[in-house]
Amino acid sequence: MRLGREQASGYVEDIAADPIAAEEITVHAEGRAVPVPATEPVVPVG
Amino acid sequence: MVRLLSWSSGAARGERPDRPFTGYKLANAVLSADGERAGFAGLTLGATQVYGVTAEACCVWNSHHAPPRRWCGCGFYCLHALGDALALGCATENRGALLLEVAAAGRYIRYERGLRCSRQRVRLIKESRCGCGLPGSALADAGSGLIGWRHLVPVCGRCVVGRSALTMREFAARLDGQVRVEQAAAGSASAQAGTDAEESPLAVLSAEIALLHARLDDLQSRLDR
Repeated sequence: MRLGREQASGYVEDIAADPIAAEEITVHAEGRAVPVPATEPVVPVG
Repeated sequence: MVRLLSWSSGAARGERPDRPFTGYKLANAVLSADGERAGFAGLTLGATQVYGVTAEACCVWNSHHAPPRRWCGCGFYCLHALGDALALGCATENRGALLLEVAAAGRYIRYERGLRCSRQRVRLIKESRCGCGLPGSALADAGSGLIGWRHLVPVCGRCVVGRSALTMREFAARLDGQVRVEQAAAGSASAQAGTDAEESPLAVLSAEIALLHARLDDLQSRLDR
C-alpha cells in the first residue's frame, strides 16, 4: 500500500487537543509543484 | 475546525496546523525480557526499533538528518483512513500486528493517503484479530522477538488457553504512557473467557454422551448376535 503523491509538508506541535481527522484534510490528487521521490513511500515502515 | 488544503498546482510547504493529525497504523506489540515493560515495534524497516507511547523518529539509514527527509524513507508512517489500515492488516505478514490510532506531530510530509512525521503519540489500541480469525482479546508470546524484547501476537479466548499471555489492559498498563484500549478489544477477553468456561463442560458432556451411545450400540449389536 502506497501513501500516494505528496500533498504538503509542515510542522505541528504535539498538543493534547483532539487531532485533525482525515475528513478535515482535502486531498488533491493532481499536480505537484515539488518533485516527489521516484518511488512513493510504502507503508508500513516505521 | 482546521481545513487543510493543498495547492491544486502542487504540494504546499510550510503548513502550520494548530493540532496534530489523526493517523492509523499497524505495529507489533513487544514485551521486555523481564515482562515489566511493553512497547511497539515497526513491521518492516522499523522492525528493530522499539518505541513507546510518545516517540521521536530516527533514521535507520542516516543518523545525520532529521526525519522525515523528503528523499529518504524515514519517519513514522500512518494512514489517514481507518479502512486503509484495516486493509493493510489483512496481509499475511501483518496479521499479528496491532492496529493503533496515533496523533502524528512534529515535522511532517503529508501524502494523499497518509503521513510521514517526526513525532508520534499512540492514543488508542484498536481491534486486532487472532490467527484463527476471532477478535483478539489477549496478547500471547509470538515465539519471535528482538534482543531484550519478545514479540506478542493477538489471540482469542480459545487460542490463549495454555499460552503465556497478557490481556490488552495488562499490556497497556506496562506501556510508558497512557493509552486507551478500545472497548471491544478490552471487554471481549473476559467475555470470551466466560464463554469458554461455560462451553468446556458442555463439550466434555457431549463427548461422554457420544461415547455412551457408541457403547450402547456395541452392546446392542452383541446382544443381537
